[in-house]
Amino acid sequence: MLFHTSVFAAFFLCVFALCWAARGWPRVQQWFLVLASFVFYGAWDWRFMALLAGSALVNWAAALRLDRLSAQSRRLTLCAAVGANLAVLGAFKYFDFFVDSFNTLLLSLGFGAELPFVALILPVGISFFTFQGISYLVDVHRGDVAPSRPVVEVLLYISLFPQLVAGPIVRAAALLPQIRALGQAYAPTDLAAGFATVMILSGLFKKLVLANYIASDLVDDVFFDPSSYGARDLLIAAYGYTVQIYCDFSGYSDMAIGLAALLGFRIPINFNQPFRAASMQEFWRRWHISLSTWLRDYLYIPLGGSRDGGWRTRRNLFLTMLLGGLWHGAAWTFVLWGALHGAFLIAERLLARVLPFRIGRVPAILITFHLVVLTFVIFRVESLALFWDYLAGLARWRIPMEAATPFVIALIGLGLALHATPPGLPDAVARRLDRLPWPLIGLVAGLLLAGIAAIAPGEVTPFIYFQF
Amino acid sequence: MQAEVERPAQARHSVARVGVALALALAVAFAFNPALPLEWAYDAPLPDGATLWLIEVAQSYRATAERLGLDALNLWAEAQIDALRHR
Repeated sequence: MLFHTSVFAAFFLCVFALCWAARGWPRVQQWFLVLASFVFYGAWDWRFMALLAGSALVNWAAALRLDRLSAQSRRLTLCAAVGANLAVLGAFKYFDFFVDSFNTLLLSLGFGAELPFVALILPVGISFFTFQGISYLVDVHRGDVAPSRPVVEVLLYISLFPQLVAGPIVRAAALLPQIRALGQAYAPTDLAAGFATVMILSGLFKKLVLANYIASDLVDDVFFDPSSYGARDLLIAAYGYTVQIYCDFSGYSDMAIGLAALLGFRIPINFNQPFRAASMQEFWRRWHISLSTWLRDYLYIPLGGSRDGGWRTRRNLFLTMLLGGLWHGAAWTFVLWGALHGAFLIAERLLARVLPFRIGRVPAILITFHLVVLTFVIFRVESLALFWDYLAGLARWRIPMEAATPFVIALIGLGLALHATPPGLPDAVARRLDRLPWPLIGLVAGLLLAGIAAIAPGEVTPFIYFQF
Repeated sequence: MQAEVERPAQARHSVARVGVALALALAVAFAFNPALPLEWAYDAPLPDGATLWLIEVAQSYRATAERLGLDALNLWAEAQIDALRHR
């Protein structure tokens, strides 16, 4: 069930009405939202509802156990529970990738034997709900949040449907208090209708119009066979994919935040004008914020962070980005993508020390943006061989431009222009909307929704981050 | 922590009013797409008899809505986008 479908719209309307009808009965409201989230997840493949429930139950039981143990046993239990989460993720997502890599290694060493593949289906959203489960365990271990005795709280934290399948990855310390407060002192009697409207509509526009047309009219064809295109098409497709992935993923996050707001939950933003970053470090403070802060707090800092300085800091940075790359998918292209980001982060730290001058902010933004575009080419190509084809094609300036039409170039420009709007603009529009009488908000939102649906293409490409 | 980048949400309208506004927004959006009930009817996991009845109802709704010109926005937008794509 995808956010942009009419079936989801009808589903959400029913969930909204029944969820708020249960206001005053917090347990009923929590269980109802769990049921709705499982229906949402089961609509994709009902067999994996057990995996989702199992993940939540294991984390719930482990967190309760953590609360009762001595310091030494707590550490062991935490390691076992985090290991169990990672083992499930590894089995579904990485098993065949490692088998394939191992078989290739065996062949190159002259051994004929091959390990068998298991060919498991990748459950949608597994990377996201596994990371939320680990966040819950670690937050309980650190004392940032108390373990939940009622299982429903953890079930809802792991499965809350607006952010279940593609994030944002919400911390236990951020979401559990809101779940516990349902029906209590916090219980909202008023909702941020304007804010939700702006987030949902802007998310829909970014995904349905910008990301879809850029993908279907340019990026998909060029990246499928880069050797058939000249430098101009390849260059514009690289910019195009950068704008496409931003619109696709930030559009999904915006919709998730808006939908959660209508259910009374506040989810932090996931993107903050990432292409305005003047360094790779700043880029990661603005791009997929929920993942980068998760990696910082649950991987980089436990590895030692920048405490020991020198090469240890650089090692920690590189490992964090390498594993962050691997989190995105079981392929060497993602590993290389993460490794390059790690290398760039290290290089800019070293350069800041040795360069006798400072680069101005505008040149720094341009350099960072182009490094990001380059890494997104690796992120998008199906194999490393195609990446080399892509780079080689950037020298073919004699071949005329055929794939990049004025329409799609205008959309790429529009995507960049929307990205560059002042950060306070969505809130300003939301405040204006909130001043309108409520029937007018419904009418305006309905007309804008109809307009977006009218200009969107008939075939909608899947959300990029669903595959992760 | 994530709270660093939290947006200030302005809460202004009651849950009931937001619910009605949401229903109104979806009704307005769906009204401009008369083919939608037909898609739902085809996809509904219902017995054959009920599905056939739903398809008939959806077809007659679609015919009426098209006579009233409710699909004009979609047709106009489709033509404009097609012209821009193939310019």
